[in-house]
Amino acid sequence: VAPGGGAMIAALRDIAWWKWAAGAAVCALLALFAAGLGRDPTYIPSPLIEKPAPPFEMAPLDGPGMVRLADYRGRALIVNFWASWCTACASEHALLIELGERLAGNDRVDVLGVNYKDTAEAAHGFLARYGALPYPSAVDPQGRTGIDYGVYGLPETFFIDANGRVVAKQVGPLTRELLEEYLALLETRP
Amino acid sequence: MRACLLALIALGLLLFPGGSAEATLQQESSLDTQVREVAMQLRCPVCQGETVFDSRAGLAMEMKEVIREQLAEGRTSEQILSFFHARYGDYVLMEPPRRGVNWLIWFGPLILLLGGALLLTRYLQRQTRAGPQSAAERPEPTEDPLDQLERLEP
Repeated sequence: VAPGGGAMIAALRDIAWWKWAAGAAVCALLALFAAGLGRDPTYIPSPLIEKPAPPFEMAPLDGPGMVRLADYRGRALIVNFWASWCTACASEHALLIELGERLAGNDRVDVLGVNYKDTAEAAHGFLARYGALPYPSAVDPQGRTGIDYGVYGLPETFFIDANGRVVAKQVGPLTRELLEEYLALLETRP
Repeated sequence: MRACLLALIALGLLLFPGGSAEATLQQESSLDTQVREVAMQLRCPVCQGETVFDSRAGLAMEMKEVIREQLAEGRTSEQILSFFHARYGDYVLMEPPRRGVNWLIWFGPLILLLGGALLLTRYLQRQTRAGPQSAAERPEPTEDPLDQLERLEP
């Protein structure tokens, strides 16, 4: 120990315990605030992760019949909530078309669009402008399925495994990197 | 002037008689009151710090409709709150549930306040105890400060 070192340690030892405690408390509080500043206050973590996906029954955007969650049992399902009034949906649209084409003919993973709080006319206008989706869409005009899924900001995409459990949820537009991560996560499921 | 006012009141009584209309109004507002009570406890997911009741956002309006329907079906406010909690998590409750790390939200400020008060009293006690004494007992400088300075320089 250097000559000054011993004195320094002794000086540190002389500081009362409560001063140490107060200093530690202030540091902890500052660290908490710093961590809080980096968070997105509009992001709501989903309580549905690792829970059974809420069942739904909706009319399809095109064609007759009904679309139910039960129809997809035994296969993984990607559910994408979109709307013609959602500008961020347009930015991920090309990626979704690509995803649909990639998974076409695949018997393990399906994709379903949910046209949320929209009209059929506006939805078709959006598809005519940005490209038709290679997978079906169901309609949720009042947003009730949206409430069941805890949807609050479009686009939102849910990844559901073959057992009907929610594996992950993406809030905001998908990117290629994010999509690959989510698909890899789905792959790890039986 | 007074006659004019009286005439207005008489007209008002003629046009809006009390009684039956009031009764249906109260009947309707009883469900409204229940909806308000539940909606006041829910946080609008697309707003910042606004209740579902206060918000005019589309999602909040739809949530109010869901509350109204579920109340009409006879569900209790606790059941409706847990319905939304299962879908939107703790965020949706204006009062976060008192468990786990949430205890910090409820009692953190109180703990900080008590800790601060404790530190302040300790500090003030020290000041009053040590303050006058040290002023009285402070030893007179025995050495010339310049000598000390010289000693520091080898």
